[in-house]
Amino acid sequence: MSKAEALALREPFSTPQHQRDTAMLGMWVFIATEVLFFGGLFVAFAVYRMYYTQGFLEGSRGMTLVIGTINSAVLIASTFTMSLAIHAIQHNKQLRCYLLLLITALIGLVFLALKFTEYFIHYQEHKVPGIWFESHDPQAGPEQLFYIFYFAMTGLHAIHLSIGCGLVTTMAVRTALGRFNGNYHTAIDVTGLYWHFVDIIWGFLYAIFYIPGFR
Amino acid sequence: MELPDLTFRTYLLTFLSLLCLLGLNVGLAFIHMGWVNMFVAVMIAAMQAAIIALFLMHGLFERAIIRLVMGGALLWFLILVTLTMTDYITRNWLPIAGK
Amino acid sequence: MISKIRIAEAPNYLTEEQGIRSWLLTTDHKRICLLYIAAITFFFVLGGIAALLIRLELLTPVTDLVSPETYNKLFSEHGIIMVWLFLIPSIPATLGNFLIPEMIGAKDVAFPKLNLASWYVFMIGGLLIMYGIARGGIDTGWTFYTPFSTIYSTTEVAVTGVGIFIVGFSSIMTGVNFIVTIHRLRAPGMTWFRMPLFLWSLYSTSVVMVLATPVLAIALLMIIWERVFQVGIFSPELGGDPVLFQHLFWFYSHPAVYIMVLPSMGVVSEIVAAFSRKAVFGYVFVAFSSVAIAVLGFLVWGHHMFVAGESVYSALAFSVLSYLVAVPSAIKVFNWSATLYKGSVSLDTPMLYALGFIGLFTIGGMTGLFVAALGIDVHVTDTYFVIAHFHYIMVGGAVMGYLGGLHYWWPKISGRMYPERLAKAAALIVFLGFNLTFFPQFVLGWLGMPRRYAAYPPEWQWLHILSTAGATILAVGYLMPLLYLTWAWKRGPLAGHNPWRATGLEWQISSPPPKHNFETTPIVTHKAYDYAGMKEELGLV
Ligand SMILES: [Cu+2]
Repeated sequence: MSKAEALALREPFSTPQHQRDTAMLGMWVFIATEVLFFGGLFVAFAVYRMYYTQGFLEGSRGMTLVIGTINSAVLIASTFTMSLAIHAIQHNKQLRCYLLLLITALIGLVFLALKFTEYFIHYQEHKVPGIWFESHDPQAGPEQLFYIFYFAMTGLHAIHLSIGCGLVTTMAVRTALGRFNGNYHTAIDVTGLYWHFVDIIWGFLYAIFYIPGFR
Repeated sequence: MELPDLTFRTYLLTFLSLLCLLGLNVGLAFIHMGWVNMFVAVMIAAMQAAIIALFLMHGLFERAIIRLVMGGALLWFLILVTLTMTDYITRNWLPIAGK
Repeated sequence: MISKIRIAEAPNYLTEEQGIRSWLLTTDHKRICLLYIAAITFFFVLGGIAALLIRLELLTPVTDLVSPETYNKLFSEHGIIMVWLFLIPSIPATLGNFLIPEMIGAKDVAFPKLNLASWYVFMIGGLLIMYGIARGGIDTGWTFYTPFSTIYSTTEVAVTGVGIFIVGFSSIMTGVNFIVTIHRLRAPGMTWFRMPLFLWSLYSTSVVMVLATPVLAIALLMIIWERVFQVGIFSPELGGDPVLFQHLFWFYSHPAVYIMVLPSMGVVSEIVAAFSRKAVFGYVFVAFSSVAIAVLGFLVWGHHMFVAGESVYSALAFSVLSYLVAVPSAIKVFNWSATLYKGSVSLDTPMLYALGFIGLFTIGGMTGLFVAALGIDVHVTDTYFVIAHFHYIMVGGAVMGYLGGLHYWWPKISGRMYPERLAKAAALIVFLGFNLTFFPQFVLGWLGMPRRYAAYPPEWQWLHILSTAGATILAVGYLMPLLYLTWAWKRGPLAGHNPWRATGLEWQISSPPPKHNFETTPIVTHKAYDYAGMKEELGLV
């Protein structure tokens, strides 16, 4: 057992391997919770989308499609760098892992910046339900519903991504401090799971909010 | 169980296939297919999700219990969707208001 | 199983560290159990006071004690406090926390810090709900139905909603912790089918917590958004559907009943085995019936919406599915009865509660079949029949199980015995008081008395008087354990490590247990409840 491992080994566990497996299982179970958390919103969206096809299509046309698509690519890039960071620490390359984690967090910030640019554009177009919403469309009610779900779901996703950025940055700092090596990197693995999950959610958000707007 | 040591090549291929699926998604969106568009888009997102979960999150190489958790989460989400939809799809089938 | 040498006056988890800091920063699952007991006892008393005020108001047919508005707030807060601040955490967070590591031969739960965090999160949510009460309370009922909760109610819906949202996360943390602990920390030889049935039921409970609670969280979040930003997610004006909220709410709240009652079923299995000196009959069936209840419990939520505008076809499906849950529940009752048969039954206090549970849960379950039937439900929806039905499950079932478990394991938790005769008397008082409170409510409901009304026709007064009298007796019955268990904490006679001569790893270590439970990891060689095979070790020959 290395020094880093001995430091990180906590109470109920006898071996680092045991602790690692347990931590990973914990994260997976938490992700199951998150699936149902977002799941509630997806179901509600699906119900309304079924009833108000036209109004929701109207809403999709108001999306900033270019930024949304770029953001999808941006997040895919971040999953890639996150995986490479784990790959690097598996091979005991601490510096490379540190840099890749930093890049991952930075890409996350780029995503958030673009997302808030979008929010600002919606604000200027008076499409923010509850704060400033205007529509001359006869489908105004359903269109507003669409925007409520858009803000709720992408907002919740953005909160998750911000937490992810915080976690990844923490991992980068701890890597720089030499807390992890090829034999012990549980915390990075667990963070990676969370990061990937948040990316998966975005894939679905992109599909339901943006894709119909291309027509 | 130690993480599987996938090669850089595998990660690169995953990355490229995710990008390709994104491109495919945008491309298909321009073809008018009615409600099928949304269905196709969600399916492509599901494929991306599967690639991320199985390779990047190493779901393919994990112990059975992890796959059970993944399957369970999916199954429970489907329960939520299906049983809720039994209500919304069959509403107004009877010619009685509100039934 | 291993036998341990106990050294007199060896430090235990209570004495090893002293001072308030050692309690508030503890990561010891046993101390966190006690933190939870303190918290939920406080909330139970608070919810109980609300219940007593409700019963007092209903003594007379007119509204005289409190105004109708206050009455609405009383039953809402009673429900919210009892469900989320008492019943949901009751057995899992206290007895579950204490016993899971001990029963599987582990030093602690998988994530001790997360365990402590769950208590703090629980307290923050609880305090927020208290803050909501201080600001005037909430009048939506515990169910938060839209559009009343989103558009019309002028009370503290948002604050209370955020409070419950936060409490939900503590429940998720507990669930994650328990699932992972049972999967990963079982001692060598402790196979799944050697586990005490209490663990099977807690495992199933945790699955429900993890998969149902997030949906409640998101439903509450939507209500809060709708109120704070004045947008309409469930508002018919914008095309929203109020019934959609009910779908999401009951996707959690029906399975939540199993979060409350499954742990009690586990407790009853332990007690019935210990006081019959027999292995639970049909162990595998009882174990899998817990899992079955947890899974089937997710398929029935629509039975709460038969008259809410749900489609008839959907209602039919939910009605049929609801009957399915009766099967695993009945399996449990039959197997407990079969365990008693030809056992050497002794009627100690925990056993009284367990038998009480079996009887009352059976009544609650059978009346559940009534309300699951479409036609009958139309007649009794939102009447006292439903109130009586779910109190038989949640109070007659869950609370009886909690009290039984508390008595059964109190010697382990505190190291001391409680006064047996007083405890037996209390158990009988609780049983009588409970039935007197809630049986008349079946009659009231059948006659048509709707729930949530402060006034009613005078001809029903005698039934309400019976119910209020029962509630008063019940209150006495609940107060007694509070007093004598506290007394026994310091003054009761020493219990020794295994006062019931029961099987189970928790009875092999000293009472109160040492800080890390087991000096060396035990190796399990017996199946659960092996009273026949462990006669000599237990001194039963
Ligand atoms: Cu129900």
